[in-house]
Amino acid sequence: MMGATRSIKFILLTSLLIFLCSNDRGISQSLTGATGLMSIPTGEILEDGEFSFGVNVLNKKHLEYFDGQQHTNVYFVTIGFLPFLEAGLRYTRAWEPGPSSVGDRMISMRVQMLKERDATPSLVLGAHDVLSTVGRHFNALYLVGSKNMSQVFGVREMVLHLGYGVDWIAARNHDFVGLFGGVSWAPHSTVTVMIEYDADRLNAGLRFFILHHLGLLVGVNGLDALSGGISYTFKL
Amino acid sequence: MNINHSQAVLWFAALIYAPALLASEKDLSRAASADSILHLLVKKGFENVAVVSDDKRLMVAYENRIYRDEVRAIKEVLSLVMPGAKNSQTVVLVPQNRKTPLLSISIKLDDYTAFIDGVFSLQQFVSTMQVSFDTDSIWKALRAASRANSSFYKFDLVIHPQFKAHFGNRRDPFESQLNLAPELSASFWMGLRFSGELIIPLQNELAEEEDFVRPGIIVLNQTLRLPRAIFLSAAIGYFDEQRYGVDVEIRKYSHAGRWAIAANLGYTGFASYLKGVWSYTDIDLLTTSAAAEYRWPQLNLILRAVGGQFLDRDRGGRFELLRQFGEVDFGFYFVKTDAGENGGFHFSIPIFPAKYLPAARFRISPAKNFQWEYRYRRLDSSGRQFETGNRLDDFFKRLHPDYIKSQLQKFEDWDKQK
Repeated sequence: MMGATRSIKFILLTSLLIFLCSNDRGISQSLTGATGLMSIPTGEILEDGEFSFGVNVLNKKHLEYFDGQQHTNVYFVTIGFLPFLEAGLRYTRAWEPGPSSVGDRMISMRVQMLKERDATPSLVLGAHDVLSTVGRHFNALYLVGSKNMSQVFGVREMVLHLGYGVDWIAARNHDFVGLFGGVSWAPHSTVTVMIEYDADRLNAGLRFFILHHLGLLVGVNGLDALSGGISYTFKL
Repeated sequence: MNINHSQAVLWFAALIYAPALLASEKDLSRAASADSILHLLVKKGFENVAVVSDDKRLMVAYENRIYRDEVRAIKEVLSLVMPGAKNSQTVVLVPQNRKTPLLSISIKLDDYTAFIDGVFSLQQFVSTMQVSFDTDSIWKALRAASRANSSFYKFDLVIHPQFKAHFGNRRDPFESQLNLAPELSASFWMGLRFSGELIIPLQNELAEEEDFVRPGIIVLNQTLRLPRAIFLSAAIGYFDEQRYGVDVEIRKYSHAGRWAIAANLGYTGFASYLKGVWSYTDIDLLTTSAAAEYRWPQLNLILRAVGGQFLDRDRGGRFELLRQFGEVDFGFYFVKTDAGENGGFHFSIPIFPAKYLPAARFRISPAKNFQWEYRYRRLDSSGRQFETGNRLDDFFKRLHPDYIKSQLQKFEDWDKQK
């Protein structure tokens, strides 16, 4: 009798969690604050009028910012400002920066040049950290595409992402220079599994969606440095 | 048939006077429905209400200070007016601000009936509405009509929250200031508004002199509507950015309100109040600007380019993009003047509640929204302008033909009363 009660409770609790946790699109913010996988940006953008804010923690192990001496927090706000334009502001600050550090502010603009159709991928032109007061620590200029391959592979929500970035803008550090890409797979509306190559190293992560709006990101940069974050996304 | 003399006279009189008697009965019925509509609108709390009818049109002027959202107010006015407008072919609403007409909204009774009967969808019904900046002809009929529930000599105390934040200071990466700014305002005649604001600091990590209670914007403003959708606004008093003096603004809408041009001229001096003492300079600064504005109707996106001389006597331009997501505004701006370059964003979000108590001789209410602006380079002075609290574009941000039509389509709770 006790076993049956426990089973019923387990089923009810699991059902409730699944009900609370669904996210129809499986799209959310990467560690940079832009829409993407673990670290890399993708060809998807926030929907028109969608607003996302959150905080991420970057592991110092593979970080160029602050010469990799400190774990770093990333605070971000991102908005789907137009149906084809995602804009973001992020503030990056080391955990113990010392008196000489003011942190780093970064603006990102991402234009979706193509929306995904049956035969063509979505395509985004992105520019991160092109305007800066102190130094461009996270500059990126790239073109990235995403294509849902669920029907090809016969699985639920599998998306391939492929991009190419350049270092044409003078900066202290550049991200995503060269070929980058990844795969995301959402076996359920509550969770997305991600593996990616960010043009320097391989990363992997998981994303969970709670109460439709809350996203939890956890993963390993270089497959050995734990990073993650939390974001809240809603429609204005 | 034998008809005597008196019967013949009666028949003759009946033939002569019947149309007139029928017409006067129609007039009486129309007048009764106009009175009834006026009574309903006043009872609901709308101000400066006038209802006038002729053979074809029922014209209704009203002023909303009940609903936070002007589009919600339009929908409520329609719900009250349309069921009583059966003797008219068209209903024309004229929303006002300080008794100044802003727009005309024309609805054909047949279209409304089709919507109520389910023949038209909400989208189809809204698409048939004619919303226009042109009020010149309709105002001729409404201007002389007596107003019920005047908005004049009523004092409003509106509590504004103020929040400022600076990022990236070496000593403290996040510094903030939180104030309450109660604003007392009243209107005494058409287009005039007096407002006085007091800033009460609650928390302050920014400038030390802002630790104290101080005056905010204190302004006497007169706004006029001229023919052909031209608006003029003149303000005198103490503005923000510690400026006092005069400010004049003119604005013209064209192409169904999608285009607007504006010019602004300010002549001000510095004034600051600290611990009971005013410090000030002579009025010696002329700020000027000219602006062109376009509204992208499908997106409720406003693109604005401004050029002129700003507060630091710097000359240059400012480009703004403002998006309206229902009652939420979010925008970016870029400034380039000979004092430097800057950019940032600003947003405005509505504050609870969505409906206020009817205005009485004295009323306290929260501000309609909370606004915040972020400047990327906070110490940079390029492109700064002072605010008078009476900018003409604020009149039409939520009373614009395209905005009204896009937002009316979102209301699903129509009372389909026949």
